[in-house]
Amino acid sequence: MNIVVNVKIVPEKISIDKESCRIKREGNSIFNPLDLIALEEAIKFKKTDNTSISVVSMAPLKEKMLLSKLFKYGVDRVILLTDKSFAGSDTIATSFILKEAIIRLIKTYDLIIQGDFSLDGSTGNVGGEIAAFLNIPYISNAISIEKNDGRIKVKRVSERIETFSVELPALISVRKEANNGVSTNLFSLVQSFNKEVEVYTNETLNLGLRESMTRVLSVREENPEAYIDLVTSNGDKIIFDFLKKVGII
Amino acid sequence: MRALLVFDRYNSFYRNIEGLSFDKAFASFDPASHFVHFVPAKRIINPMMGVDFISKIIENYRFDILIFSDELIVKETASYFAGKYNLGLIAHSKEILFKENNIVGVVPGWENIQANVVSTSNPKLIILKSKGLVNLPLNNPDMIYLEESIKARLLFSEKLRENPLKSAKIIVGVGRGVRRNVMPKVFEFARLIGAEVGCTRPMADVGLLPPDKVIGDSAVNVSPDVYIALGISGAIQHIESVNANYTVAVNSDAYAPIFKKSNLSINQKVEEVIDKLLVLILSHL
Repeated sequence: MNIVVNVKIVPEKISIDKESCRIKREGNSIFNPLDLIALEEAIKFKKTDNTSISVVSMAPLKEKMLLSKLFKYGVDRVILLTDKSFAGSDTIATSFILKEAIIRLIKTYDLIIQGDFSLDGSTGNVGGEIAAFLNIPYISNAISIEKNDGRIKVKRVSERIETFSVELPALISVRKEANNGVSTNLFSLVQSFNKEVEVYTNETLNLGLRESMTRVLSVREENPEAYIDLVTSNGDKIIFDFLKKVGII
Repeated sequence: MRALLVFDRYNSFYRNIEGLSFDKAFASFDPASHFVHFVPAKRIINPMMGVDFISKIIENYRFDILIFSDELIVKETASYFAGKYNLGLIAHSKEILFKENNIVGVVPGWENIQANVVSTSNPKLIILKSKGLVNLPLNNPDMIYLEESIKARLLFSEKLRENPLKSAKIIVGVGRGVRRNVMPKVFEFARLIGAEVGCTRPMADVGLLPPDKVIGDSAVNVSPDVYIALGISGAIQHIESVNANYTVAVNSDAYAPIFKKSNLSINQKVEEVIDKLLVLILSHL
């Protein structure tokens, strides 16, 4: 089974540059937590099947070091897509770039897994967009993925718990409840020393210019202001009196 | 300007655009709906079917904007539709505005930031928040026949236990201003006043409460009579999901945005207030 995991790198602390209306990415970075849940779902297959895991990530070149840490979890290939022209991509442009990378660099894949949404963008658009570009089925909010007679059985949570039988290849995005995240194993740790992150730019991928179709026109932050009706002492007594007055106690 | 409004069961996102002068048509994923213009011949269970449904509608009718509710199957359909037709998609809008001849989605962001987002696509695609149902006039919908979807077959559908936060009359919400060692006191306080405990997303992310206790965008929306917000700063994603009759907020930061929404605003440390409050309540019982 060839599994692709799309991993996003997000700022540890999210703040906005009001001039460019973009997220500031100068500080520390972390893996998008839900994408590590997705990675663990892929690693589960590795425990029972002959499975190869490729991670694809679109990020600035400085994140190569962080991405190299993925090898110790048992990832076979890590592909970094990096180019100044990728910066500021909206979800449809991002999905297009990831889709092209999957087609051109991975070629044969059975399953694509990723988190339901990223901590920074939080749109949840990318999974469905990539799946549609690749013309493969898409199910989100998954809490378990199992192989089942050449297809996969996917359990997902909506207003009900639904179990789907899904044709492969497919793209599945996962929720936090799917597992407890990745952990290092000694075998992968030893092997990780020989592995290198593969770096591809717009030029090496030959994607051409890809324009975003949505644009942040402006951002507005509500300015902090002092509130005149703040209670600064005896809050306990005031809440107690309120709870008594409305009959809660 | 012609708009197609797409939903599964909850159509109240319509309230957010009622004032805009669109020609509006409605499409529901529920074949039994009589209050819309378009229904599928069979219930839509996956986004591939959803896209098939919308595609067949737009083959015959032109729309300038497609507005999707934020129900899971509809959101999945919106993103799949965007990918299939290579269109920009504005997610999580809480309202739609007209600005400089453009349709603008107002998207709550992080902390207190709101972004105005525009799309160059035609038609424009927007996912709009919804919270319930509104009454639409009775209609005689066009039935759209769909291909059998074998790519993702639904095998079972089990009822999910109702999240108690949804029907709770009193909720104690906790945010990052509540330290781990104060949590037992919060639970005791909630027990004594018969409240459910909910939290902001970061509290679940660090494992202080389970994910089903998160109140917020893409989690649970709540409508209690009384909401007691402890150590919650008031990020838009959280505040927008609480529709309380009365809000009590306790926060040591005098500039916390939650105080803009609260009826009773206590600018003190949570641990200071909760300790004394527990003593008062226990002595009253």
